[in-house]
Amino acid sequence: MQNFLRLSLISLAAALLLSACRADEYDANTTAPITSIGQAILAAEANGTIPKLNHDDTIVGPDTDNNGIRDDIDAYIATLPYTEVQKKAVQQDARALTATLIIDTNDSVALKTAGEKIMRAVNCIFDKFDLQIADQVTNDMEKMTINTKNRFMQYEKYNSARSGSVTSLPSGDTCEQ
Amino acid sequence: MSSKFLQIFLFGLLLTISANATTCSKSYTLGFFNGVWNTEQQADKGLKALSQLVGDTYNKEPVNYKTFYNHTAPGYDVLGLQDVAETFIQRAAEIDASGEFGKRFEYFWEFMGSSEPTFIDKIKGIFPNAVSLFDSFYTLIMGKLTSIISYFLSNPPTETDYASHNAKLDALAADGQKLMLVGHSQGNLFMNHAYDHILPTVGADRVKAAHIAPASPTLRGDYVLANIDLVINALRIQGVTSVPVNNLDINASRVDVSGHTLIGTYLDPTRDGRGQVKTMIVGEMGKLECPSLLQVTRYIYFRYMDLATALAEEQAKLRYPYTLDPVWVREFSIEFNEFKATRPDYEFGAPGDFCSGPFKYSHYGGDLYTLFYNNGTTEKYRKDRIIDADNEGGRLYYISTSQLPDLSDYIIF
Repeated sequence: MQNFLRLSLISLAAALLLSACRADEYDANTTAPITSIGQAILAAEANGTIPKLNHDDTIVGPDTDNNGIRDDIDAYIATLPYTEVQKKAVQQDARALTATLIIDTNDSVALKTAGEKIMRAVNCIFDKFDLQIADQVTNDMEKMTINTKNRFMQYEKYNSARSGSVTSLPSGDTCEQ
Repeated sequence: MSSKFLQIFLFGLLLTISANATTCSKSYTLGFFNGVWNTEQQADKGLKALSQLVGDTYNKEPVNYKTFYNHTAPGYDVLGLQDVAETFIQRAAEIDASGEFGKRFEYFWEFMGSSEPTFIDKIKGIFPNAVSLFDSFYTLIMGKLTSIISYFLSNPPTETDYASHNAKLDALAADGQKLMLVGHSQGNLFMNHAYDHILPTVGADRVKAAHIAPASPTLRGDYVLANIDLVINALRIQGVTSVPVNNLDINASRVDVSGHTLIGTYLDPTRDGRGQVKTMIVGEMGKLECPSLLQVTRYIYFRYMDLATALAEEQAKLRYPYTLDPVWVREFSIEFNEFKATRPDYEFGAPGDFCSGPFKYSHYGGDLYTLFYNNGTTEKYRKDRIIDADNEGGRLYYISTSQLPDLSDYIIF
């Protein structure tokens, strides 16, 4: 009876887990052949080959620790094989990019501040990494932060508002502590 | 001197010399004009990469770096980045009915990027059929990229697009900066205009241009254009014959399949483009010269005083044994209320924005006025160097440029 109960509970838990699976989740243990790009993406995300990112409809996404970086990007940065100083530089870029999504694009002061933060983050990363890695890391932060249509549209609004701006490259260390 | 025709006499010794850059106390500003579809971050990355290439100083003088950002598209929905994104969504829906691909914009950015497409590569690894589908995306994006550049060649950006860049260039010129302008891709169109705008103000000695992957039909300086630049090559196939000939032969790389991006191709440390770009920019910077005494004088030495005092002050700016000869000096006058001035070698035209009424006060602040001469040239004057004739009186002198020897070795900055 105890075994039956245990089995029943396990079965129930499994059933609940299965029913809780959303359509965009993928069973990493499946042996079925992959027949589409969609399936390939879900498989890669399920087995950890590609980080599973937040794609909800919000602009900023979940940021439970309120550090200005989406939680899934925080988690991704933590897995990178870099020094703590380098990881902080990557976080600075992610934070600067996220900030562009929430500012009032009619506020010229806010726009200028956001632009200077982007420049300072770029300056920091390129001082902490070789050119090609710096290019890769900043591309990664941009693609992961601006990873839904809603976020893209907001980012596009920001960049359009910045068109015509002239921003100076700061001298010295611009990495945030 | 009547009050109706208020005549202002100023003093100026206008000396044209070819000052050696090594003796100049001013600094360089490298202005970068970014390529098509660049986000601000991508443009800033280009600037930073250029700063690492050129360095913090040149010729023992500081180099300042500035991004002159453009995110201009012919229309928000046409050929802009948003248009490319919409195309991504449509094509993604066609090849993946589940919608998973289309809602992940990280793949869109990888198609547009200049570095390793890590996600795409991994998908290709587990689903080989994706290779041809992804390739069709690249082809689509390359077509869009070529189209927008082709569009801009026949429909250049407007004055509105240029306005804020012009204002910044004016300020840098007034500050005495030596201006090195660098354009990439579509940014060359913006840079050409910037160069043309500031050239009359600073003269050819104080502004130089360098083109990277130029799509522009005209050039303002040296250029680097790679044989593997598929965007420029596609323009040629479309019949755009005005682009320059390739002058950089390098191997293609999977990191940047377009062969067109700044960091991915032209500044790639593993290929020859980087060295050639550096040689080009440094070569152009080597041609930059200090603000000539002519310009310094225009900004600094417009004074109310007699000829002897003026000569003494000017003489103090020159090293022994050079001596200014009073016989070189000529006098001229400006009638500000009628916007007229006469000088033996110039006939001044009406300066449209010099001032709007009878000139009354001497010290206005740091803004620049422009004098438009009817020979097509212009000169900038600082307001605070202009003197109230009613109160102070005075005369304006100049020295004919043809009478001056090379004073390079005599200037004290």
